[in-house]
Amino acid sequence: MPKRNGLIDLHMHTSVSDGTDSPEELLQAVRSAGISVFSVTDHDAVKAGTVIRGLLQRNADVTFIPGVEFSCQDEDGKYHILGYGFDPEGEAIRRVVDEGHAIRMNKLGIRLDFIRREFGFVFPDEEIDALRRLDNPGKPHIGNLMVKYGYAGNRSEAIEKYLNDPRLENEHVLPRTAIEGILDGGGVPVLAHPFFGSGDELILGEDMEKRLKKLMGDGVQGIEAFYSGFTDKLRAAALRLAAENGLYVTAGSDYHGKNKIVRLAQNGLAEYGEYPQGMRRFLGRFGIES
Amino acid sequence: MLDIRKSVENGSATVCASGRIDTVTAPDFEKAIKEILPGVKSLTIDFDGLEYVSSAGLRVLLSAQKVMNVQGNMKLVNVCEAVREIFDVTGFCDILTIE
Repeated sequence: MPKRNGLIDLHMHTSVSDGTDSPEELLQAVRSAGISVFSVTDHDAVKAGTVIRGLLQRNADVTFIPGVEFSCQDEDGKYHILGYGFDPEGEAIRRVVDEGHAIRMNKLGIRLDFIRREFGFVFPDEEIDALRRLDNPGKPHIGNLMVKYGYAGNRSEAIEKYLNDPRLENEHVLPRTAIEGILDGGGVPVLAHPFFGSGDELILGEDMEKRLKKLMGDGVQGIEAFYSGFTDKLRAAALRLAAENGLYVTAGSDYHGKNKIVRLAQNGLAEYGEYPQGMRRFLGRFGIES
Repeated sequence: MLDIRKSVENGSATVCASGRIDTVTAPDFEKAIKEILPGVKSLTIDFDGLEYVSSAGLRVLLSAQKVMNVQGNMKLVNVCEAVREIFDVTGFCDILTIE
């Protein structure tokens, strides 16, 4: 059983989604940061996991757990669902990734049609082709293009004024679909940054408990109690929820490279002391001694 | 929308943010803070005219506070009641210096 002798970070992004480090650069940064157990959790994409597994075949000095972060929505709200320990090339996870990608590509086309029809914003074919070649194109990428061609002063304005139209939000991966895909692939589904919803809401108290119960009914097995944006108070509340519900506990920074201030392994776990039982069980599930 | 102004003088920086820090504008706020942090010993974040901070904004404040814990000090001024309430329920009032 590999023994953990460094930091843990189970939530980070590469340039495959909206991070700035390539998978190769991220692996180097992980090593430099003194991390011994890590997972790459790109939005709706698992390509980086395949690359990193290949790189580690030559020098397995750190323990890697394949991961993903699915953006989901249903009638009750938005969620980010992390998945760990599945086969990134397996059929089950590919099905969800492909569904998410198809939805993204469809939305891309709808958004580009919308701003052309409503506002007369047009772009050269080569720019559209470049957008379609991205693994994970979304509103920020279209916003950047609008700024480049002078249709908006900055990306925020582009998104707020032109791309956040409710008519464009009609298709999503359901949390149940993502959770089932992770479970079918032999992985562990975990609710990311539980009190922050899809990364921007604030969900506390009974609302949080209700949301968690529903997701547990769909098969969620853990929560990200150690998170870069959590205060001691929020972390304590998350650990209480995990203990009460017998859930796994994970720790993530949500590192995005140069895009954000957060550093690798900045998740509060190293300063916490003895790992909670849910964290030890999670590591044990992947054969890591804590 | 979010209006951001920033200034630096002799190692002391001020970032003024008014409007809303939400999912769309938080990246702009983070960019402004990130650009101003290097070498700064004192950071004042002026929230005069700021009506709302989402969790995306809270995360930026916590990251900035961690950097400034090492580099010097950070304080928030002109925080409205609605934003103070968000800081209270999330425990950010225990971490941030709010004047």
